[in-house]
Amino acid sequence: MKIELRRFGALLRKELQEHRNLFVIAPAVFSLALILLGYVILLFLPEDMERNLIEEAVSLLTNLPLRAAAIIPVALSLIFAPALFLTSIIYLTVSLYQDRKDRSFLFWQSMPVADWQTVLSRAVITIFAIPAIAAAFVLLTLLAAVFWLQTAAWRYELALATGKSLLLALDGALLFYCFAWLNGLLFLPIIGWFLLFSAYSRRVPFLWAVGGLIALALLEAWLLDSIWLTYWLSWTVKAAVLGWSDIAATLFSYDMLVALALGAVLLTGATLMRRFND
Amino acid sequence: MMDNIVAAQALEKSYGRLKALDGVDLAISAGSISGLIGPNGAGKTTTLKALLGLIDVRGELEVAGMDPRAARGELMEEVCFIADVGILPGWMTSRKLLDYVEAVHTRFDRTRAERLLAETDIPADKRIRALSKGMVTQLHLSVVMAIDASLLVLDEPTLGLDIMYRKTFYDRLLNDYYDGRRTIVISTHQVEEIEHLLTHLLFIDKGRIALDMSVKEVAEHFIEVAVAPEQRERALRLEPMHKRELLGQLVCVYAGVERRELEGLGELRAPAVADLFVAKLKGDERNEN
Repeated sequence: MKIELRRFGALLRKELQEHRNLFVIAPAVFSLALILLGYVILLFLPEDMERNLIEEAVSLLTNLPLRAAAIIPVALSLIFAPALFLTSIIYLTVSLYQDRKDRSFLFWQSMPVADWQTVLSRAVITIFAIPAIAAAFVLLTLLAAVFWLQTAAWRYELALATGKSLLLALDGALLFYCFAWLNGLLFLPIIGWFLLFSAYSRRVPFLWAVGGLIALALLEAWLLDSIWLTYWLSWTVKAAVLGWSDIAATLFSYDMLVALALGAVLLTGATLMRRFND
Repeated sequence: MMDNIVAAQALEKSYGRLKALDGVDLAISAGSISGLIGPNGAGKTTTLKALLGLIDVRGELEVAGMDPRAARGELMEEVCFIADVGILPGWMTSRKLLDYVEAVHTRFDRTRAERLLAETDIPADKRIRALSKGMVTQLHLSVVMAIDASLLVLDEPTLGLDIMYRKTFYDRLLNDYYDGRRTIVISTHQVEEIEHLLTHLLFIDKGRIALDMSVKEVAEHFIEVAVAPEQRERALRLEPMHKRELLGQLVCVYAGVERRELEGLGELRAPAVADLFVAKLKGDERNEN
């Protein structure tokens, strides 16, 4: 058991090292762009408007009860969701394809690591590690916002509840992380689907995966006269996490059970495809 | 009698209409160095991939007491392989590679790997993609040699390397790795470079094993004769398995003919592996026709 955990840890570390640029660059660029955008907007904002805006923000953060004020950083953090989604899709597309393309697949296969461990590590990276990195940048962005607000508050001689604001920033980042991995779990069938095609395709795995989804949706419409798959796919946010109570409700829901079951089937398919795709 | 580390019966594998393996039977003794030799498309790589659990095949197969199709991950504790050169991940440095192998392989001895690497010019913190082909092969061999495995499978391990690296590779393999307990299976086109290492020969052609003998048995069973001009008629009457002209001299390979019957025909010697391979395959072709 100990060696299996050590192996799994090594697989996760290896993935983080190999795809470090992808995992860090997208949220970093997003974070930097947001911070710069904020500063640029304020730079060109007339002084009275800027003062009103800051007074409003300081008042909200100071006077609203902690729970109610928590919605502010949570809403801000959700701006990161598209970057997270994009990073995850790119990673899933290449994760079981790239090593076959550069032939390092043969080296990885020469190690005592089972195919299910490899596939599972890719899913764990997508669900838990990529969001953790994104959440770190969310926190950084929110802290930058608090820092800017504090500076502005001093300038206009306003009293900002700094401790509370910092707490809210941390709360927002943590809730964003929970939002991300909960949605990742609900998206497990899609994760499994992309991994399946990443393990299968000889080239352009993204087109195969997306094409496959379109084909399935068309088949459903033709055979069953329904658009359930299209409807399900169109909701890119499966669960809104606006407070800690939402986590348990989502985790123990019927949707989660179905997603995990279907995801397990597709991950098994991806494992078999990696194992026997010759 | 040594135990078999590989036992395969009636292995079959098809790619569409092409039969890559057509009833392969194999028995490789523990502690042997076997050469799997065959022309392009004969089924060498497919056979090795089957032994390593990299492809699915029909038939009975056991490697190190396990079925590679069901337990590839577990099997890799016992088996190492180098398939072609340049398959190490280019983004890694050799230090990170050692970190990874140390974390996943229970039989990896990092100190030994570092000692082996210290004998080379490979820098620890340079990315593998920046190393030369020869260095990558040396790195891979150092990693493999630091793993206490029972079976090492090499599929064209020195392809594309210059003669210096090729020679170093096999010297290190023999001097620093092979201990008479471990088993090595090598598949290569450069037969001349490995024939002095081999204790067992496996010829494969058209997905079938054409020859499965120890080098000792081969030396007893096959005799090559550089026939003296005046003995030409007599040599041909003894029905050689294969004959060829070399610088105007008839050279015949006999299978299963008593040595004393051939004495007096000319110079008797054990055939080189490459010559035996050609003789065996041409001889089999003639028999089929």
